[in-house]
Amino acid sequence: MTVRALPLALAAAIAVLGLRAAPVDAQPDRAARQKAAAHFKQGQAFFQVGDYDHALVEYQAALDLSAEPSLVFNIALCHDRANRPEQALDAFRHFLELAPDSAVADEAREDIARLTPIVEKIRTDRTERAERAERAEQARLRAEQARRTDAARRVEPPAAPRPPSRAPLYVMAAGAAIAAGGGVMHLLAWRARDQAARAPDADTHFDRRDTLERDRPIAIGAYAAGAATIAIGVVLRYTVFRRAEGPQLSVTVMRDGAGVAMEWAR
Amino acid sequence: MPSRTMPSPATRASCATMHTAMWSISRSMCSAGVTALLAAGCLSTPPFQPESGLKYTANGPGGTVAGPGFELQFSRDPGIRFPDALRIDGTDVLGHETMPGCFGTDEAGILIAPTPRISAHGGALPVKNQLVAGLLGPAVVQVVLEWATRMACSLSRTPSGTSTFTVFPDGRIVRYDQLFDSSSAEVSANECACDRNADGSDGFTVATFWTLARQGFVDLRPSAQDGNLPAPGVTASSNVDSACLGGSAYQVAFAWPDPTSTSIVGGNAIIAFGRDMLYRDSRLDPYTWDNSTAIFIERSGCDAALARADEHVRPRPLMLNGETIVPSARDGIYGSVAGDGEHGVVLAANRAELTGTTHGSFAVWLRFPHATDALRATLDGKTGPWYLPQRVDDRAWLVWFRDPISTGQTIVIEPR
Repeated sequence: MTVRALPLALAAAIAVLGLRAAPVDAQPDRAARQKAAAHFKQGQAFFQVGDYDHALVEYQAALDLSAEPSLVFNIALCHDRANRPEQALDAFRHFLELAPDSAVADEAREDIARLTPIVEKIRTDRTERAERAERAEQARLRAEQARRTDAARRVEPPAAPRPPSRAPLYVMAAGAAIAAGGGVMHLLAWRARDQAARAPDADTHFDRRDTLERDRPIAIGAYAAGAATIAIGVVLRYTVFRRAEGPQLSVTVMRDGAGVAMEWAR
Repeated sequence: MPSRTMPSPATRASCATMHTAMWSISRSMCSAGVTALLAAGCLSTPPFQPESGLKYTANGPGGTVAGPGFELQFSRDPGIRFPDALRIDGTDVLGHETMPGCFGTDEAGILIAPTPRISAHGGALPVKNQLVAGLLGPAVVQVVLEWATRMACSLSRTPSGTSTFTVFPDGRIVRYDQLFDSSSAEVSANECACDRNADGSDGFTVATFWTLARQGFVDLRPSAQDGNLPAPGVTASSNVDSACLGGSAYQVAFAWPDPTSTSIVGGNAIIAFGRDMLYRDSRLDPYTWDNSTAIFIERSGCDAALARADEHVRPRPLMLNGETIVPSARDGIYGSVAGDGEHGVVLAANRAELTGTTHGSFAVWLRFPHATDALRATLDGKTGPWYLPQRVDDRAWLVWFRDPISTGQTIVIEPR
């Protein structure tokens, strides 16, 4: 191919430098032809050293200035040498469309014949790769969707508002029960007191007084314990079991003492 | 200079919650506290106040001792606060003369004749006049009247005294009078006579006395008039240690441990029971006299009343933990006067065993070695209100026994 390329390039160069190549659309002016010739010459230099990409750039510049179809052939060669068969095939075909009777037309046809199965294979491979990629992408998307679905399935539904805990009510009820017990003891103590006050003799008085002094602290203690328990229930009702934030217990130990604090954050 | 920083919202919210919680707790605790206080107030320990016991009630500057079926009232009027009423079953049996002489006997009091009578409604000028109830029942009520007066005839003569009235639930009233006058200023009976119609020729007479109303009583024992009540101005008896004025529903006996110069004299509306410490003496030298008299309210006849009076005059000793104790002439309580000057028999242990014999009820004053909150007395076969304990202070207790004690019986008194 390298052996063939030089005469084609020379033919193109002669066409450009000789200013006799048939114009495709219109004849460029002289200055344009000179610039095109310069680009062509530079392209040839790059081509000879194997720098096909820069050569292609120079040929394209010359083509733009001169509209010389031979340059399309050279561009096709550059693509071919740069191992871009698809672009090369397209360029060869474009060249034949522009100059089907060119001296290198048969050469171009040979290249087309040579490149066509290659390109077809490339394109077939590409299509297959694309299809595989498509299938892979679709599989990935399905997997992603499945993962999302699974993840969504795993996510618990938003919890319904938690009903207020009944524990404070139980605490308050316990306090009320304790206080009621105190009330019973109060009645017993009150009866003992009345009997002591009305006792006709000392023995009865002191016996009933002993009962009074036994029951009285129980009654008062039960009142106090019941009230304290109810108070705890009230606090729990309006703080711990009502708010998302739980109680915070802070303990501070210092050199000369310690402190314990409990607070509820609202 | 201290700096102030604004608390964070979270801190403020926490404080608000804490405030709310603390407020709830505070309110609940306050409610509990009020409830506890109410409970404590409603359930205070009642005093032992049986119907069979005594009760003293202050009435302004005066006071009243109430017992089963009787009541002794100390005057709240401007006079010296001696008794001005003795009610038995609601009837005032104290003597109230229709037209009492200014130095004659009336109600109850002291005479320094012919100066004005020292009594609830006498004419003596009170210089000191204070009624103090030291024992408030239910076993014993003791009221001390501290008085002093000034003679109109000699401002340097200021007779004074104390009269101690000790009352027991069975209607025994022991009166102990002490009279003092340390002035040696000479006084004349004529000049001191409160009644200008009297000439003072009888000199001075110093006496303590009770009077009872004639109405309601029918006989007197002993009496020179065959048991009849003495006529006005007539002395029925003298130098007797006991006497009984009898009525149909009740009787009243008198007892004088020292019978010297006792007298029972009739009046228009009264019968006077007195004892003279000085009788018709032209001089009133400085003096210190004392006298013990006891009254016994009885409902089963004068024999029983006189027996009680006789026991007051001649008390029988008792044995307390092997030691002999006698009643004090001052208040009639066994062990009232201890050797250390304080009241009560000092016990070495928290147990007292009482033996001996009495004719009637009696009271014992004990002092335990440790503070005692409640007391119990036991005697075989005895239940009910047969004794009344009375706490005097942490260690001292009075116990009044309704029934006599007999030979072979032992009353055990100990803390509960």
